[in-house]
Amino acid sequence: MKPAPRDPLGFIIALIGAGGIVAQVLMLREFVVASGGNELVMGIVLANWLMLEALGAYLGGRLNREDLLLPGLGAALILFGCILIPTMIIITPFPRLAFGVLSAQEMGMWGLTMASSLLLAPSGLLHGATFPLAVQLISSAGIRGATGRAYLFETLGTLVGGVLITAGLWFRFDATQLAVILAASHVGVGSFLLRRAAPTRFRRMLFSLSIIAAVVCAIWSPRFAGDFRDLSLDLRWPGADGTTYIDTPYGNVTEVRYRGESTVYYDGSPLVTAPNPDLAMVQDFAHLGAASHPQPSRVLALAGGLGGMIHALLEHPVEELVYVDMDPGVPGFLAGMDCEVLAAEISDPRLRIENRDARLFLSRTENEYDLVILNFIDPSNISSNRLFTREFFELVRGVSADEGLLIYSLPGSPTEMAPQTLRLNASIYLSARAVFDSVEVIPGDRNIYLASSNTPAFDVETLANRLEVRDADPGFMSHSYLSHRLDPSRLGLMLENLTSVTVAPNEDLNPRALYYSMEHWGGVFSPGAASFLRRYEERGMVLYAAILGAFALALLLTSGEGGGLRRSMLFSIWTSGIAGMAFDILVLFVFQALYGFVYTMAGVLMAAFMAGLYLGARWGNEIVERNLGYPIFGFLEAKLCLTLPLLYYGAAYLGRADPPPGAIFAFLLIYGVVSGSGVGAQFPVAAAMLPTSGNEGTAAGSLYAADLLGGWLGGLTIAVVMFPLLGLRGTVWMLASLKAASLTVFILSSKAVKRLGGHSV
Amino acid sequence: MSIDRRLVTIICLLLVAAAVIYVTLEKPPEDAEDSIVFRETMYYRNIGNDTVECGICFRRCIVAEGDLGYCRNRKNIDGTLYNIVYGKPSAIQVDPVEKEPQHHFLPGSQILCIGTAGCNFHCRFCHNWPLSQRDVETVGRTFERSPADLVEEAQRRGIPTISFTYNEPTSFYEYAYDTAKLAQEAGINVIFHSNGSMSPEPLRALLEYTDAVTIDLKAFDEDFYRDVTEGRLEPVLDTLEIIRQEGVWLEIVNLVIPTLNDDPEQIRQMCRWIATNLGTDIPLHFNRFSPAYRLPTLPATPVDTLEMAYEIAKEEGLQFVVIGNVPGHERNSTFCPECDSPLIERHHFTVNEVHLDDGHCSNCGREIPGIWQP
Repeated sequence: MKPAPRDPLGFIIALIGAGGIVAQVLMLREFVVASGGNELVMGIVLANWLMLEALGAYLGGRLNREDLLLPGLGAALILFGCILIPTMIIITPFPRLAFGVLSAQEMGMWGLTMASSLLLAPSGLLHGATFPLAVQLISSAGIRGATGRAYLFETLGTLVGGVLITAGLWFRFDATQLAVILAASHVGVGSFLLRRAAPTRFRRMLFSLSIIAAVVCAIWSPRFAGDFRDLSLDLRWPGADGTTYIDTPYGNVTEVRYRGESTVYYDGSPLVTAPNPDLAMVQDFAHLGAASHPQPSRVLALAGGLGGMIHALLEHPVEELVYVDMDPGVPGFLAGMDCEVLAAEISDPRLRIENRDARLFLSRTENEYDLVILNFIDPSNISSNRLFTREFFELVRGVSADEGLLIYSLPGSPTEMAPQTLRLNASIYLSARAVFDSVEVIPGDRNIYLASSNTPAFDVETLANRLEVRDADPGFMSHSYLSHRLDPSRLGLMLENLTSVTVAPNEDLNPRALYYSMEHWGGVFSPGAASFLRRYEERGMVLYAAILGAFALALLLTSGEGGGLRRSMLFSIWTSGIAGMAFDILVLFVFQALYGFVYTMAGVLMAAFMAGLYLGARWGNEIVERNLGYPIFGFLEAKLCLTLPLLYYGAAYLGRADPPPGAIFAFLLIYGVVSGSGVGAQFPVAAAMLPTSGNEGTAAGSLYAADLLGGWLGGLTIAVVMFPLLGLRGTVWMLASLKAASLTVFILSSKAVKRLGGHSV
Repeated sequence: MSIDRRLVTIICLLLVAAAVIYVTLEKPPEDAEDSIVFRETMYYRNIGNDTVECGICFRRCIVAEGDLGYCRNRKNIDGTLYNIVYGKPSAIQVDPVEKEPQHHFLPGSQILCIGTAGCNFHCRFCHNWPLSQRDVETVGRTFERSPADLVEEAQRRGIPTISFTYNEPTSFYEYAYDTAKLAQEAGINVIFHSNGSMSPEPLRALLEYTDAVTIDLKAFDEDFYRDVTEGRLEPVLDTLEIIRQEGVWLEIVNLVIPTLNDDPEQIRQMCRWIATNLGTDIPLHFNRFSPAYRLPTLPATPVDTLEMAYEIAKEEGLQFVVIGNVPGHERNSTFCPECDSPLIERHHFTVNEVHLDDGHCSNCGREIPGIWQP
């Protein structure tokens, strides 16, 4: 089915799709900065956004008056555009304004859920409402298959928006500039629709004003965006003497100046303080590690280290120090700061900076290193957790020279760790011990781990002697200090603690440490959440019960003679929404785990999934044209059911086989298209099969809401609970079971309809 | 609905209900009663109906039968208030005395540090939160050590001082008191690090067996105490005066937190109060804050701010002012108020040089207050 020529609604629906994905990315980015990138926080925010869109879709579908459709859609677009900028401004300072805290993660689970819902409600509801309104407009024009047609354009817009933002826009504009452009385009298009609706003088004037405003915004967006961003920063950092920021495709770098000192934040987490870095912990970490090696000539520093750690390492007899940081914006930003330590680091001829993903670098380098040192990061999200898995440790062992040493740190305590923190440490310790013959641990505010295939010299005399000979003692690492830090009774107690607790190891396809990391977060900010997560881990079978419960509920709700088929379609679309979110999260994760993170390639993979959605939507519309409804819908359900486990088995095979890098990318690319097409094809078919009782917009709204609610549940559970707890295999089988349940319900319902002599598509 | 469909539905729903009940049920703590040692609280009174009023700290918690006090370390059992962490430390470690910080107390020596679960404050910046913000049942681990065991351990390891620290000693008062008594009898020094919230009577009792105290004066503002620590300022000031009156060696720590308690005027008022009410020879430590616990994104204290605080303290006449947690800073060392020559050269917690002769500046001979000999 081809769009009708000169039909602006197609373009407008595509804009809705593009606007949705871009707005989602932009607002999520702001929440990353507001929350420090915690996976649990991101899951809650994403889920809330999808739920609000679902609610908006449902409400939008309830608008039945034909004379209000066009102005309604226009008004929704205008309001969405108008609300976007204030929302963007208020996200990062909201924790301080509403709760008196600096970071969203300090708000606790419920505070975060409520706050993000309130913040995102206006834009989420408005954007969600636009799709069913557009469907009703098409339907009112007498065009058949309006829902499928609208979905086709919407997925096309999502594809274009996704490609633009990942492949181009981030390199040219920052987040606020993009928001201004997005807002201007929506206001302009919305005004155009309002004018078309019934051209009153007011609407003509509004249209003219909007077009002028849109053009001005587009031209002056850098200036406006800068002012908006400054306002947001002022609200977040009252009392600061000044702020500077950059947005890179990977993250946000913000410098906050306060009473003669600058603190640089990366995605909301403190990175460096200048001109007086907080050296005590950094020096302790770097010197203890470097002094444990007899001759650390070649050093590899991963995931950061500028601002003290590199400086400390270079005081040892290092011949070359390779510094790997994925984000090229960070070293560049830090180089411009007034800080002796930073200047010395960056200007040192022994330092070589590599802007690549750490895993990717390790898998490609042919060099061997005496020391591999991981900066102060935590496995608090899927991306950073990859640096604490058994497979990562194997990669490190592969690039380690004889007597090579890996040094990393994790949240700890100088006295007694909280149980959640202990489990996090123990899980990663278990993974490291599976690879390295020796793993020593020094307790502290951050526990320091030294892993090696040999047994490093780890006594006070040797370390003190090396520090003295190398003239690397920062001044406080005296014999007595080292005796205190390396007190055998404390180290022994720490090891005893680590080995006494029962935990699962942390692996790429079973990222259990991510789960423990969320528990640790809960232990600090939300004891109730920590307690729940702990009980849930012990009693994780409840997930399977949840599947049964959903199945039972679906059987119950689809048993009636009237709405049985309709509800079974909604149930199917809901489960496909969950599956779609799973594809989204898990494909990207597998790519990061097996290949490494490359921004543009990740963007291509996401685009492949969206392209699959679009192709599937086209196919779905053709199916509708040929009246192939029931059997094909069942086939699509079965297809999704079978596609899900393929991701795990494919990933597992590729992980073992060590194929060429291109094979991994090709597999995921094809998988993305295939899985996307399955999800994309279902929607128009379901829309055509759904009994509409005359109002296609209402049906479209319900279907779209079901899809988004599936995405909501998927966003809330997959990355946060299901995947860390069950691993990739358990997750895909769990979801396949869910799809099997919806297939069963569909078959039973469609048989019931046939028995009753019901309609067919 | 067909019978088969109905049956399947009912079975599924029953399984779900069972799963929900199972996952939401709290597991009873293992051997909960067996693991708790009871020691009757030394300062409390029964106010009727088996309800008691605790008298250990300023909160004066009213604890109903079966309930815990605010610190979670005192439990009312049948109208008797018990300390439930007695003999159950969760941290036993050897640290340098400079870490306390105690800079005028046996410099360069070691201390045996004892801490339990629980605290009567909820400071958002607490570095020892795994201990202080847990109760005895949820803390990671507890040991079994009687007061005599602690004293014996200090003697065996040749450590001259026992310190009650990490979490607030007020919350395990009886354990600290009994240990302090035994320690003094055995010739072991006793120090403790407190938030200053102890009630006067138990405080005076404990001070009889104490050689030195470090008090956190977290701010000079009741709003800060209420909003950031859930405590109060006034009891802390009373505590400081009592310690001074009792003649026990006292040092004060102020953790300077950007935007929360770093106002210069507030710092000046604090220094003036110390000088006026306690004396100008009380060592005052301005420590640098680094992100911790529930303040992970607040920036570290600018060194300029610490130096400003230092200058203010000096202007108000305080003689011994130190900047802490800035390794390598000149003012991390102790200087003679008379001739400004270094008395104790320090780098972080490491003492490099001591220039004292029998408690006097080796340069000008000025007497320096402190405890310099065991």
